[in-house]
Amino acid sequence: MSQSGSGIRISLLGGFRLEKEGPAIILPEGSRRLLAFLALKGRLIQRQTVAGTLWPVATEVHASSSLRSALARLRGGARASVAATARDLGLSDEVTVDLWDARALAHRLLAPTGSSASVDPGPEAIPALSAELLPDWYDDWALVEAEDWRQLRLHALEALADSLMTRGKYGDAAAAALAAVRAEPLRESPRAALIRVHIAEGNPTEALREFARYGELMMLELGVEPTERLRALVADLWAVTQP
Amino acid sequence: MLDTAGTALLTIRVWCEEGSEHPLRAEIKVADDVASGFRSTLTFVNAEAVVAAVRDFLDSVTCPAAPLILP
Repeated sequence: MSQSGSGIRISLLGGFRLEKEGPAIILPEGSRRLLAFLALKGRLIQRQTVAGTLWPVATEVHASSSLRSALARLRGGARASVAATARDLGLSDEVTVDLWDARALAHRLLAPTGSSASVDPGPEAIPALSAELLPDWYDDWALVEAEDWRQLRLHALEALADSLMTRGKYGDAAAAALAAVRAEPLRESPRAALIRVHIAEGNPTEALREFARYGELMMLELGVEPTERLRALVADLWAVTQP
Repeated sequence: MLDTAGTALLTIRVWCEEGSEHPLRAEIKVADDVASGFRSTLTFVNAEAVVAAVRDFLDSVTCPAAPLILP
């Protein structure tokens, strides 16, 4: 994850954090929500839209007043993080955001193999792709972005697992697949990615154990069996593992 | 009963598991009060169960009616 220059860093993954060359800057809630919203959007937004989104149940006058208060309470290094015009608000050029880097990483992982955008990252990508976006934030605008990020990172983790597996890095590939499984225990595709890694590593017993764990979970939680596709993935392994 | 001093929240995330006998997956998360976080997460495989869960959630929200003012 790159951290360019000595500017201001906003972290949204795993929780909100604002840093400028030192310990985290503590902000009041309204100011944190303002910076988080601008960081999620990553472009200039009309003040009226910002106020209406962040304070949706307030009157227009009250919402505008709350926005002015949130801006005024950006003290010290935090004030330099916002670029403000009479009409718009955005983040200043010296701000970097961890989500922007993580999104770029995920898109590179999902780019078609051989394209200029595709990369072969290592296990260092796993932590960035494992973190939730603004956990415990319940604003509509935050929930939608969190879900977008969840989908993107899950696909990227599965792509990373496949990429590492192809390069023979089975331990790292399993770690990437497990990160996806932890995020979506009931979803089949991360579990299939993990089983594929075990098979590629020549470990049919562990592949079957993972299949059994998933089958038990599905039966316990949902009362359904794994799909035919997943059963087919392990179908040939039963004979191999017979004593 | 939910604490209506704050805001209760229910989210439904839906996806399909192609090839499953019951392909629908609907994950429901419930927060009694968004200030205290999600209270429960449940996943269902049929629409009727999802509707029932939503109805249970709404039934558990107490919204006191305004007092009747007689002329």
